Amino acid sequence: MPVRLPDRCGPDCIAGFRAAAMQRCADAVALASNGRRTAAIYLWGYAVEMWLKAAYFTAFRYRGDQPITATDLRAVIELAPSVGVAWAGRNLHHLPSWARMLIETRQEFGLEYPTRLFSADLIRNTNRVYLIWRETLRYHPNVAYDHEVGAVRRCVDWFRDHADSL
Amino acid sequence: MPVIHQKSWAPDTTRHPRLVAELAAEMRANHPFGQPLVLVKAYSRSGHLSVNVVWDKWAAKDGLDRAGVILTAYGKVYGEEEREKVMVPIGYTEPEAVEFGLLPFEVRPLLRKTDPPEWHTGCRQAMLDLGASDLWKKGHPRLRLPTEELAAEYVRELSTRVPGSDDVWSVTRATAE
Repeated sequence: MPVRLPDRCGPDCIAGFRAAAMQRCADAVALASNGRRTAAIYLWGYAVEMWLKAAYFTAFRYRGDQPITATDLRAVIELAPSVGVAWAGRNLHHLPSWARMLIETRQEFGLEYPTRLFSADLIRNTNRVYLIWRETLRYHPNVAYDHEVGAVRRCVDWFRDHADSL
Repeated sequence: MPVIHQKSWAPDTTRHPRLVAELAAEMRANHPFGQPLVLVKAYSRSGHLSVNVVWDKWAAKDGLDRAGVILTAYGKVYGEEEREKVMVPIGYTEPEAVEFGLLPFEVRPLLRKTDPPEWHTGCRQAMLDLGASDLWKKGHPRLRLPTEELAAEYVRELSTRVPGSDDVWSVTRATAE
């Protein structure tokens, strides 16, 4: 008997997040080119979330295949006040909180970005995505505008191109 | 293989010179209340600085332009050596700063219908004068701050500016919306 899809999925890990982010991006492009604009944005937002999470745990020197548990993820929220981030409730899909947490953590660890404007670019792109994306989009029948698709896609391209530097 | 010595970021002083001058003047003045709110943090391991500037005047400006203005203004006020330490220069409007978790405390007037009518307009004006933002909704200013201690100082100042309103002001902890 074939193993079912959920049982074929390994635990969350950096390598898995990065590979899945690329796949969800490809899925989103296919959806956008077929007029499924809200669904495309929905998947792109998760890709950004995975890149941010992968970068955060990379800063913590997790190995690529090291499992990232639910406890690890909840611990991020617990740590947030200690680096000056007021996390939005208990929402682990809150991209702005992830972006700030990532920047603060890297700085606390002395990990430099490639340029001194990089952090501003990261915040800018996260902000633009989060103006349009929410994980709750799936509950709503609203159709995204073309310009919203374009705006999110440009930011997602930035994240994809800089995924290794985040 | 060629060895290329790349230049570090150099300020483009031709971009937004008025904004640079205004921010530099605000940094020098170091007013106790109002926008822009400049949050400077030093990282012990690297000696680097983050300079987050909360200012509604950023609203129409791109994020990289904001960063350039911050770096240039910071260099003018504190010198080039200090500017070189700034590795995280980020500008936020007040609503953006709330979304990104920089301003968890909110100061609000809890007004009753029986309170003097002049308090309603007085409180709103005092909040605006102290840097409240109405970018969320025009005519409905909101005052968000980074620490409880600073919020308490703002309450004292607001009470002074609207005489008799001491018991009206409340401080609540909230996060992004």
